[in-house]
Amino acid sequence: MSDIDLSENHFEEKRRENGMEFYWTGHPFVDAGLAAILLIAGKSKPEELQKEDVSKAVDFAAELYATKDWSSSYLHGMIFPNSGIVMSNPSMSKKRSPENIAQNLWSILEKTNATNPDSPTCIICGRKPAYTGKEIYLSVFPLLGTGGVTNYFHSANPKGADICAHCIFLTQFLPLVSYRLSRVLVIHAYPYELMLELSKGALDEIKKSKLASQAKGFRIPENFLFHLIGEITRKVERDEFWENASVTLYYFICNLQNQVLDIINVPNPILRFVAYANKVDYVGWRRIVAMGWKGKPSEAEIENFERERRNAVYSRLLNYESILPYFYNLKERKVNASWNLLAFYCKEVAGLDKEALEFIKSVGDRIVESIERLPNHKLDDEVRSLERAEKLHQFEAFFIRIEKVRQNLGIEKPLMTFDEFTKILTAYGEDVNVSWKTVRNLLLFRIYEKLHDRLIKSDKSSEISEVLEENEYAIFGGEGE
Amino acid sequence: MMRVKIKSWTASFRYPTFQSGYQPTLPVPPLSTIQGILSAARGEIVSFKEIPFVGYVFMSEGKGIDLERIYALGKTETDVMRREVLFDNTLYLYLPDEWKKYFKKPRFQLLLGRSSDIATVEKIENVELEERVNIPVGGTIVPVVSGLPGLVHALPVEFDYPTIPRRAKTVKPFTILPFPRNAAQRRRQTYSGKLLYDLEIDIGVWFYEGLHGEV
Ligand SMILES: [Zn+2]
Repeated sequence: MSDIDLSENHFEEKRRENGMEFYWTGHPFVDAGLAAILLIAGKSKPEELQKEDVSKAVDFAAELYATKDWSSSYLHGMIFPNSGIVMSNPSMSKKRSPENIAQNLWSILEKTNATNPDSPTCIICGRKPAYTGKEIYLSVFPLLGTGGVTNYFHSANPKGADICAHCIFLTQFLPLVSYRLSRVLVIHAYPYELMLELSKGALDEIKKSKLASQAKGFRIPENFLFHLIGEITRKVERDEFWENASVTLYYFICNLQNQVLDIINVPNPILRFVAYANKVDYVGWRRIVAMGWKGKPSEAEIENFERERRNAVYSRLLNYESILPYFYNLKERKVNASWNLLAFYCKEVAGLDKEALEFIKSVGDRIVESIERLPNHKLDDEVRSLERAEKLHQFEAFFIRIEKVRQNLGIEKPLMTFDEFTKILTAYGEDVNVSWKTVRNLLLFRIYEKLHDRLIKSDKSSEISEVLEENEYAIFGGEGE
Repeated sequence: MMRVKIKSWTASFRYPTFQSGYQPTLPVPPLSTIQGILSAARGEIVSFKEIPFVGYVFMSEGKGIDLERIYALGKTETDVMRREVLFDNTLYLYLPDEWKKYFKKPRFQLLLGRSSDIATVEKIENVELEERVNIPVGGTIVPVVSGLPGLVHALPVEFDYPTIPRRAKTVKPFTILPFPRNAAQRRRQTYSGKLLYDLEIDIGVWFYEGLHGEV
């Protein structure tokens, strides 16, 4: 049986004399609010928060929320439509002031321990009685339903959602660590230390400009996250920073006309790979990413593309699709990154094991050793036949051609044993990520890495004829992918 | 112990608080859905308090978005909303033997989510799971303290039903671990402590025992 006993209280509740008691809940919006208060206080643990810290956060938020910039287009328009608490309700514009907003916030917090034996338990933290001061709909807590459609709630609960004052209070601070792109981006992460790190930039920017963080002009949430990972990784020394990290993006808009949400969970292997890439081969990684945009950006354009356009490499990574073809440039026949980075990707993302990778690398080296003795135009022919292998039988034919090359050149040892040959053709076919096409891509990478200069020369010297006729393959049979 | 294999064409497991305009689905069911399935099978509300242990593994072949017309209660107006749906799903439940009789002849329709997500029992078997260390776990939720990386979210464990509306009895933060897709993901979801291993499905199963309504 699993050896963590859930009944042990892993929060270790610490009651404080001054009544301030905060805790992480696992809910992205509530945790974001707590992160904001902690960052404003310069602290990292909720149990360290004192009344002065909360006071500071309340004043900071109230000051901003009372301004027109925040109130109408951001709070009312994107997060808390018609809110009475942060006073984003347009009808409140006359009464709206930092003092009144602060007072509203405090009055919620005061209700945290209000005991009403009838109150159900909070569905977010499971520890406090639900707040009953008002109905809990989307103006109080983003993306909840509205009173107009009570059947969104359990048994059409006319009170809305069962959420406690602690969780409602914290959620009001969410805008202070959110990034304002076309929608609102909240980055939820665990361990929470990482959440603080990923949210810090938003608050820093708000402190400077008094405006909602613009996420450095990024318009696409995943691009921004990958940018942040790079920045943090190049700054943070510790290698294990992303080791068991959980990161999920909540990209939403919540106003009266429109409620939209995208949840983008970033698998841990992807986090680690992107971090590793930034650290070990930053230039190579940039070249890989650059290939993910349509309309190849020039060096100078990359920053703009990064901010504004979706990238195929990022989408493929998030969808667990292979990005191997992006590791090299087929047109220019050169590699984009180091073998190191490729190997890390294969092992940690695609799931190819170390032995398999070493084996493929050694086959690649043997191929190089065979074809590098050929004159340029012949060399070009052979590589081209591998580049064009779209069917398994074409891939088989490539090896047979190389075997012939070796015989013609009088190289004594064969390219591969029969066992190796079958292994390379069949052993990697089970998984969509690791098929014979993976092997082909890895071999091409190795060939380009070793022979780029010569391949480019031969490319220029001779217009390549259609080397192989389709029927030449027929003898080897097999159509399979 | 016994293992019951449950299949469904569709499934949807709502996030506890995202419910307007768009309803995303969790990638695997929370414990409260398991409570619902057990209750439907037995024909009365079941509390985990009564069950010595329970474990589950969930797999889904894909997901998509459905458009759904919502009628507002007591009003004539309707609304169209987008709901995320999981397709071609399998749920393995690991339970004490006495649960066989309930799944052989479930009292109410089994559901993997909402009333349209109808599920059927495909197989009930006796299984012997082997205790191992350093094995991957997935298709389930684990306590955040396990340290495994995944999707962290606050989730209900169990609901109390005597009242209308029903009330959450227990809620905790969990890490949601999808069934691992490849060797790399299996490695990242490897738990260093002891787990029971299901050789046939090739996965470690996270068991919840003695929940006693407290978790
Ligand atoms: Zn709460």
